[in-house]
Amino acid sequence: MMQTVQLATARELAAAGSVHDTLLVGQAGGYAVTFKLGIGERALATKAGATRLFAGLDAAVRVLRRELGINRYHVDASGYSEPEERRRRPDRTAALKQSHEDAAYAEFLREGAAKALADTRPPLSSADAKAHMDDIKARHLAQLDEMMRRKDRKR
Amino acid sequence: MSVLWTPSALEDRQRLLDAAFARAMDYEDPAIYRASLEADANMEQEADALNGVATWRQGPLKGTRLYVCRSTRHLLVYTREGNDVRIISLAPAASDWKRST
Repeated sequence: MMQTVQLATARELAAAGSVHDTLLVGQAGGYAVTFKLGIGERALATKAGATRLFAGLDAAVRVLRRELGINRYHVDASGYSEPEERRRRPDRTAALKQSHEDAAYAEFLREGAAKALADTRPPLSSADAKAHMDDIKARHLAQLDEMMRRKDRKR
Repeated sequence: MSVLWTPSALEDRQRLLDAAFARAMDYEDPAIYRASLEADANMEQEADALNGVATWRQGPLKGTRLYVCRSTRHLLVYTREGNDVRIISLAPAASDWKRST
């Protein structure tokens, strides 16, 4: 397995003129970037140190041009084959979905609180509130009792 | 030291009871409503103790506070001035929010 080089190091090497050649090597599912350096060949690495694989040439060229200032490169597409299915990051998808849901819930709470704060009707004391709710509960219970009595009569 | 309930908060409570009542009537099962009654009573008890609470969580708007009910999956949004607490609204917990909207 080819040795790798991190993007930051590659940037310094490119700036110092130590990159003699750059090759985009097609593989199953994408392209790797390899550099010919004075000390040998190195592949561009991910942060984790594995060989970085770009989904397409555009993505690889973008990094070469923008990050490394490299405008001349060769392409070897002989080993390239398209990915069977588009690569996804299910962890990021779930995290983004959760983040949107959290934001929507926070907005729901804000709206509810703003609406309640704008309500100018006078509040009820705890005892009055209890009496008010007890009335509602008694009404519901009476209707449920009636429903159950009707149900028993049908039997 | 007092706890006040705004009409909005009481309407939130009533909405929950009304929904439970409708389900109990549909299924002809008063137990559904009794469970809701118990939840409401617990929530009321927890709210009435808020004027003694020393720690609190920031609410959704400036000046509001949030209390996560222990007995039910609901949040109480309230304000506090000195020892006077005003319950302004009641909301489902985030986990139940989509189901209830």
